[in-house]
Amino acid sequence: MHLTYREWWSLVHGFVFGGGFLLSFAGVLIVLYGLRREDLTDRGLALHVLWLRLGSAAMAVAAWGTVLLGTWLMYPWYRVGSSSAKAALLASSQTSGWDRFGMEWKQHLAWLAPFLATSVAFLAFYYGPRLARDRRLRLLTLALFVGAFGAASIAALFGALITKVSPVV
Amino acid sequence: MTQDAGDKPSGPAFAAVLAAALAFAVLGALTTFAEVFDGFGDWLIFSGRVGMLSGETLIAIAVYFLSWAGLAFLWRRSDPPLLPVAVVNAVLITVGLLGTFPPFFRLFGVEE
Repeated sequence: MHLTYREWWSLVHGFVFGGGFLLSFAGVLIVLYGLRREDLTDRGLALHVLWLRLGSAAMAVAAWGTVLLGTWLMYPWYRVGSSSAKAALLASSQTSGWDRFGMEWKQHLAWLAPFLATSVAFLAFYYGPRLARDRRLRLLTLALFVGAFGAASIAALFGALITKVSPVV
Repeated sequence: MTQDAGDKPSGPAFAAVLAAALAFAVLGALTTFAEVFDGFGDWLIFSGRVGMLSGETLIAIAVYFLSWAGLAFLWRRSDPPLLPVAVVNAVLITVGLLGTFPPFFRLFGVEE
């Protein structure tokens, strides 16, 4: 069992940061969805706000880590050189779509996640308990949060599939 | 820890929301223009190893933080209505989604 230097960084990019972001989603979503003043005691509200702030901030950091590593470290390894993963995909019409559609979409769409996740974290810190009272603000925050997750999920799916077809080694 | 924000203006928060959507819309526009106009695409190659994606994303990041700062300053004491902000936000994100979707920019006859 051996991983190359590039494969280790792939793990950090896709598993530590990307996987961390996606796995945290369900927990933070439940906290945000359950943040309703009428359903919570004062202590419950304080704990929900604390978890929302910590969770959304951690997810924002994970989203930035994923796209920065992906763009500036992984992507050059993927695309540069005659024996690169990109060159291997483009060599056949059976696989070129993974690059021309999959990678081209993923590498741009993924950037929506850190932008939206940072906004969600800012809303959590700025408004805090007011999110529990203001349904419209909470829905806006939820929409941004789900948008960040959707973008990250599509990017992660294509990342995993492209790596399976033509890994960066 | 849970200080209430009931008396805070919503302007700075909405600035963060709009800045995110604006940055993604700019990323979408840059992506499409880079594919359609070769010279512009070449200009976006800030790093040879990363290619056009380097310029596209660095500009989008700059737009994100600068527009967030600018809007937050403009709206530091105001309460913009939520609905128009949400609508503009949705429109900008849609522009970004379209601009970064390969079948969309290939409608303009882009060839590699």
